[in-house]
Amino acid sequence: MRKRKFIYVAILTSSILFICYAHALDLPKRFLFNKENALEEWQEKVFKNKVMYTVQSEEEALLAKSEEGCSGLFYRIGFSPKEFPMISWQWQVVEFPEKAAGETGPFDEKTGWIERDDYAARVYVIFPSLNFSKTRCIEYIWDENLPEGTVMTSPYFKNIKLIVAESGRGNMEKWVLEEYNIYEDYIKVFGEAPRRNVGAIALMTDTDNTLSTAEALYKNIKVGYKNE
Amino acid sequence: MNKKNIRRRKQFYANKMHKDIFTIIFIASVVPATIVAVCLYYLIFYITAEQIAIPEAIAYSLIPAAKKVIKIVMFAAPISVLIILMSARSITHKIIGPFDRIVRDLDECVKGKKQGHLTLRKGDRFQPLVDRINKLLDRLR
Repeated sequence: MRKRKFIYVAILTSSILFICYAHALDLPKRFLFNKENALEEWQEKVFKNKVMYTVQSEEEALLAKSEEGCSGLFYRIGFSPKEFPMISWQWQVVEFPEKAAGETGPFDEKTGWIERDDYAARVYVIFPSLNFSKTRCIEYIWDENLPEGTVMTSPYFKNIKLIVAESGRGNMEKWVLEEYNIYEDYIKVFGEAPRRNVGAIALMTDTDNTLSTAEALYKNIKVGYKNE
Repeated sequence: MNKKNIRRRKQFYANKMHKDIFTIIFIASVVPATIVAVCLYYLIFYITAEQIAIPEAIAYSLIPAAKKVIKIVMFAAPISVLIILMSARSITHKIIGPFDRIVRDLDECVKGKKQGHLTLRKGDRFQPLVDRINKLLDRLR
């Protein structure tokens, strides 16, 4: 009787542990864009107009072309940002969104920032919550004007923090490698350690606010690995 | 109808049975409403947020809608609960009050302290029952 009880407890415990750590079996997750059907695992989410995302299998890259559009590619992936804090990717900007002279100056949250909330390339790390208004998000952006390392709050929502990962035209049309520690960045931008797991990552090139065009490439995205 | 008959009760609960019935009515109205509200939240907002997915899009379209809904709920829910409470109090008093009164008056009749008819307050339920009891009392006397 005691032995049977022990077996039940062991099965239950191992099931719970398996459920909790099953996500870790797929980690680290790499996105190589080396096949024509590489986008099948991504979901396209359209905010305003559609952005053209096409796989360039020879270059193993994803090309994003936006003409007054705003749609992103979304991939659900769950992992602990404390255990697997690293994310890396390569990106290249071919064309920046055209921001008017007044929209490229110093950052000012009060005056019409939504009009300049377009970036040639963004990588999202999303921390979803059951209460969707408590969902938090870090966006790594490549902006033409803002200095690298700038941290901003999105004009749309206080729980969206933007980090300028790359700045200016200096590296335009060149592949730039980025690697970030999500856990540390979360603490830096939100002032506390993440209480929730990462639930998704997303990519976006958008020009819906500036009503212009932009073009960027992404490749070799790797998420959910330890800092070595 | 004399003054005594139209006197209103000052106690919120007439007795324990009144409290029990009142509590059941309150729970029966508030608990299902809360369950429905939670289910609707999940169905409408959570699933919509899952589908929209892009945080800016959620913030732009869904959060303002949710805020409006919360404002309406915050305004309407207390009023609805208050109306339910007041209605429940009024209805239960009209049922429990006369029940107590009939039992008390019948006890007095049995002891010989009360000679007249049983009377109820205006608007109380059980008037047909009291009429028949009074007829029975007349026949017994």
